[in-house]
Order: sequence, then C-alpha cells, then structure tokens
Amino acid sequence: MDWEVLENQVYLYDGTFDGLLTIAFDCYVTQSIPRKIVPELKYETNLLESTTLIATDEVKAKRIWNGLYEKVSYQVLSDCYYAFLSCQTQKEMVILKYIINSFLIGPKISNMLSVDYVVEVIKLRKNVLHEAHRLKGLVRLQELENNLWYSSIHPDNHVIENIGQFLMKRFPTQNMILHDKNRNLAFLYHANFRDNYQLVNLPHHIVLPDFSAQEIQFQTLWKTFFHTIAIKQRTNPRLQMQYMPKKYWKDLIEKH
Amino acid sequence: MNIISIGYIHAKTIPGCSQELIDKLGVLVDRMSVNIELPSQNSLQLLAPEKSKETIVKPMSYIANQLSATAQRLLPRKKQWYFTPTASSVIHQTKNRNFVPAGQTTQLIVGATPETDLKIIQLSENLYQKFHLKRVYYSAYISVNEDSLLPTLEKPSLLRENRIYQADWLLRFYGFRADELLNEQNPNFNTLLDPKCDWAIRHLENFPVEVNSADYATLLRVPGIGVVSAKRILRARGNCHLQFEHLKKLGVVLKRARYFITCDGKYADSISHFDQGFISENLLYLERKLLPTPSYVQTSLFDELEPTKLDKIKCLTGNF
Repeated sequence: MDWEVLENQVYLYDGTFDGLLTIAFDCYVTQSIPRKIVPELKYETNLLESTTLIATDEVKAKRIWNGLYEKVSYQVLSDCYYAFLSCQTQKEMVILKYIINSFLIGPKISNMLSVDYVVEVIKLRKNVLHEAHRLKGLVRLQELENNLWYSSIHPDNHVIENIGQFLMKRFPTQNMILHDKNRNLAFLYHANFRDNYQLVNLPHHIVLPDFSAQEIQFQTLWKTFFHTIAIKQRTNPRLQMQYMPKKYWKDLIEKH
Repeated sequence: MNIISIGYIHAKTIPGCSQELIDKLGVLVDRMSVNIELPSQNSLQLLAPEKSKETIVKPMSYIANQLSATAQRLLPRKKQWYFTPTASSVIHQTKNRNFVPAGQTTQLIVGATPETDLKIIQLSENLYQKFHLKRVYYSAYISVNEDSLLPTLEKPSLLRENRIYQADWLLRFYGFRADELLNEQNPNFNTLLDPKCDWAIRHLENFPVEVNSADYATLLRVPGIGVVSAKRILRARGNCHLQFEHLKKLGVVLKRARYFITCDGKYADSISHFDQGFISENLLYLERKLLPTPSYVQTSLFDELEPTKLDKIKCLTGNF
C-alpha cells in the first residue's frame, strides 16, 4: 500500500465499529490514511495535530462490512470486529490498515503472520475472545426477589454482548441483567422475548432488589461445596489464578 | 412446555455394569467413564479386589463398540437444548441424541502401586488405540488412611503425574509411540527434563529441523513447538520465508525450540554448537528454573553471576 500518510492528521469518530468502517471508506476514496484515529470523547487536544471529525455514515459502513464479508472473507471481518472490542487504545490504526490491505491482498491476508498489523489484530482478537471465554465460566447469576437474575462483571474488553448472548441461549427461561461495571453497561434479556436483548447505559448508582431467600441458601451451599471439594494436598494457587485471575475475584461468590 | 437446558453430564459406570443400563444411560449423558483405578491386574487384586480387569474392560469395550456402531449414523453435531424429562419429552429427546456424544474416558491412580511409567503409558496407548478413549486421567496417589498395603507419602508425586500427562499429550496429538518415549532400560521419565526434550536429546540425528521446509509431523517433534505453533508456521510459510524474528512474532516460544531448528539453514544466534552436551546443559538450566523448589543448586557456566560492589571496586583499583 503506497498511499499518502497525512502527517499530523487525527481523525475523530464516535467510538463505534460503524464509525471506524466509515473512516475506512473515506480513506479508500481519498487514498490516504491519517496518523492517528481517536474516539471523539477520549481525544486530548494537541497543538501540533489537526483534527477532522468523521461522522458515522451507515451506508458507507455497510458497504465496507459487505465488501469484507463478500469480497474478502468472513474470517477477516470477524478478526476486525473482535479486535475492535478490545480495550487497547491504539487499536484503530491497526484495524484500519488490516481492513484496507485486505481489500488489496485478499483473504490470504489472515495468513500473513509476519506482518505487524496482522499480528497485532490477531493478538487483539485473541485477547478479547479469551477474556469472553473465561468469563463465560465465571459469571455467577444471582436470583433477586422479583424473579430476576443479576450478575456484575468487570471485564477489560467490551465482551458483555458476547457473554450475554451465550447466557441467554444457555438459560432461555431466566430474565437476566448482566452488568459491566467497568463501562456501566447492562445487557438485558427477558424470557418472553426470545432471541432479543438490549444493551443500555446505566447510571453510576443503581438500587437492586434484595436477593431471594433461596439465593442466599444456594450461595452458602456453593461456598461450602467450593471449600469441601478442594483437595488440601493439591492446592495450587498459581494455577488457580491462571484460570480465574484475581481481577475477577470481586464478582465471585466463592471468593468472598 | 417448560424448557430447561442442561450443560454437560459426565456419568461414571461401575465395573460389571449391565449392557442395558449402559444403553439407556448412553443416550442421556454426554460422556461416560469406566475408571480403571490401577494400572495392572496384580495391583487391582492387591488394593481393589472387588474390581477385576475383565469387569472393567467389558463395559469399556461395549461402549467403544456402541460408539463405532453409531458413528455410521451420526446426527449433526449441533448443540442440543433439551426438555425437562417428562415422559413424552424423554422419548423425543433420546430419539434425537447420539450415544455418548463426548466419548468415553477413564481414570487411574499413579504412585499407589509399583508400576513404572512405561507400563502406564503403554496401557494408555492401548486404551487410545483399542477403545478410542477421549482421555485417560491420571491422579497422583494421596494417602488418606494408613494400611500396610498402601505406601506412605508425605506429598503426592505431582511431578510424576505431570510428566505422565506430558507424555499422554505426546501420544494423542504429537504422533509419538509409547516405546519411543521410554524403554526397558529407562522405564521412568526423567524428572529434570520433559519427555519431548528428553526424546529429542536422545535422537539428535533427527535435528536440526529446517522450519521453512519441514512437514507438520516433523515440526511437531521439535521441543517447544506445539500443535498451535506448528499450524501457525505452516500458515505463515506460504507468504514469506521465515526467520527467527518472524517466529517470535508468530508467538512460537523459542526458549527450547531454538536449539533444534534452523531458519534458512542458519542456527539461532545464541547457539554456538550443535551437540548433546551443549543442548542438554542449556535445557537443564531452563528446566531447573521451572521446577518447584530445587533442593540443591548446581553451579553452571551459564549462571549469570552479578559482580558485587567489592568486585567492582577491585576492578577499578586493581587490588585483587
């Protein structure tokens, strides 16, 4: 790719995947790429940089999405999407390079594991999916008084949607709220509306109903189980922390 | 209808279990196991006289036969969400389910009886080949009660368990045979080196391996290169000529592998010579750092000795 690199140019976008795809479209049209891409709200003004706000355009985003899916491959599209969910701050530029080059090179780009931006995108994707995978085993849904199941999580990456979709298929009869406390996001699912869910922003402080009487009983049972099932001679805290890192402990009932 | 979904059920059958029960259970559960408990008939007689080889092998081979019989008419391997077991739904459910879809496994205790590692992995190899087990689980013996028949151990031999698991993986995913890893002269695993390194050092004639041309099976035999790394190397190789820095980017861990590979005919920078002494010295040094609490420290040329303050002063003043 020998496109013009716009020195000191920073593109701002609204922080959505569609927004990034819109930027990719514009770059493709102008055959130039910026120095940096930053979500509008996170940008700190810098005298040396000039900024351009790219408004999200669903039509443009859709064209890049379809283009990736039909002309390149599903693999590349999903690489980009999962990499985008990462919490890493410089993810935008590598994903942009990956998208643009995938149109020039084709589906075999996902095998070019010696190229920096490809390696970086695949690392981001792996990190996101790994965290989602771990949390799928660590979410502890707790029953509240009004027949509602609640669980809070503290993930690094934006994995709440992935986990929520897994849980609603796993427990289709349970109304649930999955609460990402790091982002104040909630995943809502109601058993009457199968296959539907909502992602909403929550205020900082929410008041939850109390636990149901049964719930407290089960929590005690679960803690007792956790301690009695352990074989004293085989305790291996390092291994345990590999499977359930300390940063997730505050949401685990058995660790309180 | 009240739909609930069940995740995964693993059933354990007891020796001598009847075939009808296995048939019925098999369509309800995901995985089934018949535990061997001890690796030989003698040991069974000693510690678990109510079990015998026949009563264990019979249900195991029955499950294996059932599995291969149903393999012809397998249903699509889709996640199945089940119904609550009311009478009608159970029939509905069993009609639509494969027999033991997640296969069968077994478990045995290591260290309670005097079998060698060779015996144990030969047994596992047989089980994998004959009965197509998904896994054999090994657990280091822990003394719960005292008896003249039982060994007294302070701590379970977790290192031995670990070595056997490493070998088990080599059997299942790396194309090794039990008799390649151990033989009558060396019936137990090296405690200082993992089985793959141990094998590689004894078979240096197969190395070094050229990363850019070796096939999958050969790459898998390089210590430090696993299934994931080997597949990545194959994927990346189509697009460029691999060098050591590429391997690092791919996520191939070179800690062990660098002693056994070449990129475009060149060794890694730190490899001064390719011989058994040099490689085993270095690998032992690596492994020693990983092993739990070494009881002694063997001095080596490769230990990094930090000069003390006194040494530095001596160097500057010249007073030795």
